[in-house]
This record gives sequence, C-alpha cells and structure tokens, in this order.
Amino acid sequence: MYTSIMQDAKTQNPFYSYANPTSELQSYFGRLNLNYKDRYLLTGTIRADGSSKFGANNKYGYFPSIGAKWVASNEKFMNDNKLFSNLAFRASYGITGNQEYPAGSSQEQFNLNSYNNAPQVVNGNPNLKWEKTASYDFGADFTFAGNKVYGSFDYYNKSTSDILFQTNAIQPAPNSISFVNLPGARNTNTGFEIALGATVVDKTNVTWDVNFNYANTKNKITNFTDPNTGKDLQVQTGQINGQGVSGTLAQVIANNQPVNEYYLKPFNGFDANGNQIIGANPQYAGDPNPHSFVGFSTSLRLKKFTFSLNAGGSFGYLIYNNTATSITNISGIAQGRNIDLAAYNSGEKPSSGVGASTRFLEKGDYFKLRNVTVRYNIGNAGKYIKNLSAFVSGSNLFVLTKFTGFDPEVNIDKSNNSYPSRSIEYVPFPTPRTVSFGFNFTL
Amino acid sequence: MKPNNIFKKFATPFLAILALAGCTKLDEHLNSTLTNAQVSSALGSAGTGLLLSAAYSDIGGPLTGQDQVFSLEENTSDESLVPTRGGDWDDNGVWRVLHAHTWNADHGQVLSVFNNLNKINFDATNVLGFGPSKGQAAEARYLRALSLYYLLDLYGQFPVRNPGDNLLLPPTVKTGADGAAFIISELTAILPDLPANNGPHLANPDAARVLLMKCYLQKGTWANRAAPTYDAADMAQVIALGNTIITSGKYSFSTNYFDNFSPNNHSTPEAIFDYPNFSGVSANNSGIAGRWNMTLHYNSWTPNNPNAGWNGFTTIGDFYSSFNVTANPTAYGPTDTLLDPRIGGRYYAGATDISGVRPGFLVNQQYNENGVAIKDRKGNPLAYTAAIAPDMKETGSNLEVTGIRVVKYAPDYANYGGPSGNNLMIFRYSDVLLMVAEAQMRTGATAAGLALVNQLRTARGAATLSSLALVNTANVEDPNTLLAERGRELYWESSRRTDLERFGVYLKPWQYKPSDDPKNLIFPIPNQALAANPNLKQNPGY
Repeated sequence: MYTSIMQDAKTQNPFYSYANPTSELQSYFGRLNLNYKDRYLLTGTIRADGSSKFGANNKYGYFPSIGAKWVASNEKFMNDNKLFSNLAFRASYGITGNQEYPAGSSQEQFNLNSYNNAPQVVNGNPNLKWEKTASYDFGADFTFAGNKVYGSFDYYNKSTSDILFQTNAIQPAPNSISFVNLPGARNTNTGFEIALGATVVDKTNVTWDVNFNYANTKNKITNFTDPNTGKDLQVQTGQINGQGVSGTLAQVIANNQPVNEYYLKPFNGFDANGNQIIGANPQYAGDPNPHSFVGFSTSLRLKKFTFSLNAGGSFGYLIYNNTATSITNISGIAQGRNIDLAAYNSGEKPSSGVGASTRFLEKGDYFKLRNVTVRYNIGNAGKYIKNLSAFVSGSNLFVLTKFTGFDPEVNIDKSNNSYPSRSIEYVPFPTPRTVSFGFNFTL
Repeated sequence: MKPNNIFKKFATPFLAILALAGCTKLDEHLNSTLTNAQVSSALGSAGTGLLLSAAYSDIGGPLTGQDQVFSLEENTSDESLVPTRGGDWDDNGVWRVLHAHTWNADHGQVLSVFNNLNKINFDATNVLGFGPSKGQAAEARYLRALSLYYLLDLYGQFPVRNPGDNLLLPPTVKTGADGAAFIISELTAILPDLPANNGPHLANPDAARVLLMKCYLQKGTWANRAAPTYDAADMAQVIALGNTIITSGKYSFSTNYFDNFSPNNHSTPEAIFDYPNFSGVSANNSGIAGRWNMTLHYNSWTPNNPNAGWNGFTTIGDFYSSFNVTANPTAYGPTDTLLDPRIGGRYYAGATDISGVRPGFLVNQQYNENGVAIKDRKGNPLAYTAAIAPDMKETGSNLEVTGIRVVKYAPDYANYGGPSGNNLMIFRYSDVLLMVAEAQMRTGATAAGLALVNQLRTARGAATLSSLALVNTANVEDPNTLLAERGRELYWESSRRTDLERFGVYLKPWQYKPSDDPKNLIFPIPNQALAANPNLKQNPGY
C-alpha cells in the first residue's frame, strides 16, 4: 500500500480508491436460566464483546443482564380463577454496548488526498471504549376472557452513558470535531407501552381480531458537557436550505434538552410595511421527537372474504416547514413561482425578508390510514393453480393532520457536520396514495 | 423448605455457558490510510513534502472564501457589507451583525475561521515531527506563523502545539505581546533557512520579511488595541525589512493595477506571496470565483450565464468618496485621466469585451459587452446606487441594485462556473511601500513617507499628493490620509479591519454602523473552542 501511495503521490489527480478500515467483532457469551415450576423464572446473561474499533486497552466491554418473571396464573391460588388464563409480571435490568461509529476513529490517520498532499485526517483517540446503555423494564403480560383478550404493559427507562460523540477537537487539530466518550453525559429515554388485542368473534365462517397499541416516550440529555473543560456543550444542527438562509441551523443538542430541540429566532408578526419581524436571538422552541405513538389494526373474515385495516399515528412533536421558509415564501412571487396560500393571506409583502424562525414550526400530530385490503379467497382453480385469491388494496388512503406540508412523517436528512437532524421538512417526495388489484396463487 | 429441596424441585434446571475460543486479536487495519507510525517509517523527504503540501493547500480556504478571513476583515470595516435583499442574503443575520459590530461568540464565521486557521497551524506543525529538511522546516514554520498572525490579530490569542503532542490534551495558549514575540522570533529564526529561489507560491524570504513588517507594525496595537503605540525600534525594523525588499529590485509595479488580480495574474511583478489557482484545474483550487460572484448581479452576464453572480456584497458610499471622487468614471468609453485608475470602471480586456464588466467599483448603469444597458430581474435598470437601507435590510423595488459593487478580481470567463485561474494575492509589493511609508511617518520622516506614497501613486497613474496625514480621527474617510491611501490601494484585500485598528479609528462610527463597543476590537473566542480548551480565555466583554 505504501508503494501505491508513493507512486501516485506526485500526480495531480491520482487514481484513487478507498477501502474502509477492517472492522471485527468477537464475543464470549454465557447464560443461566432458572425455572421453578413455571412460576418463577430467572434468566442471567453475561457477554464480553470485543470490537476492533476501540483502543488497545478498551476493546472489550462486559455486558450483564438479569431478568425475572413471576407467572401468577400458575400459582395454586389462581387455579380456580376463571378470568385470567395467563398473568405474569416481569422485571429486567441489563446493560448493552454500542460500537456503531466509524471504524478507524481511535487511530491517527493520514490520507493521500487527490491533491498531491497527505494531511492527517483523523485526530485519533486510543481511549475510545464501548458506549453503554443501562435499561430496566417492568412489565406484565395477561390473557383473559377465555383467551379472547390479551395484552401487555411495559414501563422502561434506558440511560446511555459513555456516549460516543463527535465533540469539538482541541485546536489546532486535523479536524474540527472528533470522537470521544462523553464522561458524565446521559441520554435518557423513559416511557411506557401498552398493547391490547381481542378476538371478538371466532366462528367457522366469521373471525374478527382487533389490535391496539400505544407508546409514550420522553427523551432528555443531561450532563452534556465537554470532557476537557466541563463547560456545557451546545451542538447546532438541522440545516435550513434555500436562498437567503445559507448557514442557518434550526436545532440544537444541548444540556437538559431533548435531542435536536428546536433552537430558533422568535417570529414576532409583521411590521406596518408587511415585512416579517424576527427576533434577534434564538431560543429553545420545542421538541421534534414524537412523544406518543398509536397503532390500530383489525382483520375481519366473512367466509371467503377477508377485510383488514391498518392505521396509526404520532403525536406531540413539532415539524419545521423548510419548504414554506424557502420555496413557497412570499418573495417567490417576484420570480414567478407559486407561493403558499398562507403566506399570501398573511398580509406579508413580497419585499419581506426570508428568514428561519419559529413562524415555520407546525404541530406534526397525525393519524394515518395506512392500508386497507379486501381479499376474496377462491381456493384451488383447476389442476395447477392452488390457493388462488383476489385482492384490492389501498395504501395511504387518508391522513388526519393539521400539518400543511406534504407528509407529517418527515424523513429528510438535514444533518450538519454529521450531527443528525429530525423532523425538518424540505421538498420531500409526497407519499403516494396507491390502490392495487391483484391475484395470488401458488403452483 | 430446605435449600436442598429447592434445587430438587426445579422443574427444568438448565445451565449453559457457551464460549468461543479467541480467533482474532481485533487489530484494526486501516487499508486506505496510514497510521502515524507507518508515516514515520515509510515516508522519506518526498513524503514529508506531501505533509508540507497539505499545509500549503490549507491556506486557500480561509484566505479566499468570502465568508472567511475576508469577511471578518472587510465586512466589519468601512469597505464592505452585505445588505439583506428581500428574500436574499438574510442568512440568519450573519452578514448584518458583522457590519453593525453586534456579533457574538456563536457566530458561524468566527468559528469557521478559527478552525480553518488552526488547520494550517496543525498541518504545518505536523511537518516538523516527520524529519523535514532545513528548508521544509522553515517553510512549515512560515505557514504556521502566517496562521498565528491572523489568529492573534483576529482573536488576540492562539493555541500552539509541539510536533507529536497528544491531541487529546489542551495545548498552551499565547496571548497579546507574548504571541507577537513568538511569531516574530519564529520568522526571524527561519529567515536564513527559507529557500531564496522559492517563488511567490511558496514560503520565501521576502514573504517572511513582509509578515515580520506586519508584526512589527501591529505589535503596539496588539498590546493595547484601544490606544495603539508605535515603538520607534519596531518602526525601524519595518523600514529596514521593507528597504531590503525594495532595493532587491525583484519587484516592480504592473502596468495596469487590475493585472494583479486578473486570470492572467500569474506573472504579475507585484506578487510576494500568493495562493496559486489554475484555470480549469480543480485540484487545490481555492474557489476564487466567489470574489466576483459575491458582488456581481445575477444578470451580469446574461444570456451566456443567467446566474453570473450572487448579488450580495457592496461597499459604502463614504468609502467610495475616499477616492476624492468628483465625477464617476465614464460609463462605457475611453480611459479618462481625471480619476485614480484604481477606482476602475474602465474597459478591461478579457472582461469588458466578454460580459461588459469593468473591474473596480461598479457604479450606476451597467452595460453588457455590446454596450446595451442591463436590467435587473425585476426589469429595472441595473444601475448601482450608493445608498443602502439604514438597517441593511433592502425591501424596496430597488433592492437588487443598492450598493456600489466591487470587482477586484476580473472574472475568469474561460472557465466561468468551473475552477478559476486567478491567483489569490496575499502579500503584494505595494503594501511594502505603504508599510515603509507608514513607519517613516510614525517616526517623523513625513517627507520620505510622502515620497514613497507618491512613487506608488505615480506608478498607478494617480495625481501626486502635496501633503499627507496618517489619519483624520474626525473623518475616517478623509481622502488626504495614509489610511485612505491604503484603502485605495488595498481595498477588499482582507486587511482593512487590521488597518483601522492600527490607525486607532476602528470604533468610530461609519455608514450603517452608528455605534460601537470596545470589546469589538477583538473577536470572541468561539464557544466551541472555549469549551474544548481550558487554556483559552474568553476575550473581555463577551
């Protein structure tokens, strides 16, 4: 490899290929299961995971977990109960490791650029070690009413420490940011999940199942401080794109805030000339992470017809509408572009400046009918075609939302300096509404 | 129940431990890049040269970009600003706060310049750890001194590492007079070792002399920015170093002032240190095209290129007046002799015949290459006017045409939109004359200083002056001052803020900056840098 670099070194644009550093994982694993009369169950695991990505002394991380379950419905005193066919309570605690970050970050690296020069490109940090997430979970599983109603409940708390994070390199340095394990910082997610299901009808000719789930989650970063000085870190990300907003960032990863909290200048209405007024200093402006999720599905079979439906939604978060900031804004009139009706109706004049602000934050709450399918099961047709069925299926049939953009399920990458962003909408491909007809069969 | 029974009663006691034998030592192989140890053992002097080239190419970005050192030196001064034009150029207010002197420690350009200058600092220092030759070491130390000069001037302090330092530990920081002494001692030490036959693209002895002159001239300002001093011994150093360059006979003045900046400026006799760009060659190109795009209107080269410019940067009317303007250059015609040719506005071959652009200050109606009046995107005449909205937010129907434009680097029309071939001028010969003149005037030799200034003016085709003050603190734009002469010669060359501070007028009000605060004499240390290195101390007032 040296020779390939040295031979090419003096050419202006050398032939260039890049192979990632090798990345290897090696694990040792042990498990202990104890089961007392199917009433008390205990599981313990211990694993040692080694990754080539970490520094020489920190390649291995040790990750124990323990889980206990009490199946109350198997107790003698429950034998006579007619209500529950299954009732169990669970508790678990465990630590998991994460090594998902670029290989090679622990080593100083020099790279031959295609520019006849070979700078150091990676700062290197031999102290890098596994990121750890300690989580505990309390839960219950239950089935009652003659196996017709079933469900579970879980409360969880996950706390990530030794966070692998690209923090400010100490200048002078080859890069402005480099990977460290943040020593005191915690990224905490707490929440609960409920799942409920019922078999409403279960007859030869008719079956009807209904399923519902709900999840609630809360995220926060604490002790988010620089390892060298203990000063609070504040990492801005979430690029706002478009003419007149170059370099504007809408989100921040900051201490005691949810990850990617909005950090925007306040919108203060319009002045007498119809120009928008934007405050001078950015402020924390809301959470782009949904707080609750709802899912609903049902399936109804009438003889050979099957009808199924799937719907869901997310609630409690804000979307930044970058399309409204930059594409459909009022000043687009001057360039002959279509503009947003809301901007037109706002009394804003075409001379009004373009700027990112809290004006373009919108509630993202939505509920979507994701899929409806009706299927008719014909059965075998002739000698060769088996299990023939015909179906009509519709996807994305309707969305209930007040969000004015194309789709409140935002998946646009607006990361900055490789820090991820969340819930910033910018000229996405609209989610298509599709209706399809078809046949299924086997031969 | 006895413990024994408990174990007997386990329905399904189960115990399993699975272990894999060690198959790998988990060594990480980089494949396409080299480790520090590999570089040390594999690279000879040619390889050290690759590290040095890296440091050279680092200069291009921070010294070329319109949002880099240029912005911090020019948009903060009376030479330049970027008004917001309706839906254009708000950019979260970053440009307006620079001209209004209301920035803070979160300003993106303040951070980016700090990091990019320190990248030069790092890569140059790194060369020293890999067995450089004497000449290579001197060149590397020159590049480091260059970055430290800008860091000290802009931020009042700089971090410096020894080669091979642990990058996870914070380096020491040098401040004010200490920092100046370090840079001066470095430059003095390497002067004999810099290869004498290095041209302006490489660190050369004259480039070191110019940088030393700048340090000596600025030393008393760095020590006390609110009330700069000019030590006689320092001024004597400036004069001696400058005279070495002048008497060497290596440099002379170009026939046309704008030849220093054109795509053909590779052979200008004024270049002492520059950054080379090659037309059509993307490798190491610093993106000089931004220097004309940032100011030219979108319609400056229609229909050949309907996005000829970005319609942003302008100068202020009062600065334009410091040329002692009694009449504007004639619109599209022969050279007139009434005005200082450095104000431009004349036919310039290679630009005017292609797009109509006349390098220098662009005032009033603009014409295309055929002499036809250009319109802006709203259909109004593209006629640049001096006045800008007081809050730097243009909202009227004239929002595309306010502000006098400045095209110092004539566009490289051979590769418009591609890599442009104008070299970036970092240090020019004329600056040497002006610095010597200043040092003479600051030590009482006013006549000698005036003679040098007149030598320059004569070479430029401007009328000679009969008297000259250093500065008029009551009128920053007084045409009859050395500060104004520096402006006329070096406008939009990334040293105006430094000059205004040294002449003691940086905090004076000027157009669109009605008031100021002494803290603005030094930029804040970016919050990110402050969080990473406990040895950096935030500058007073931030």
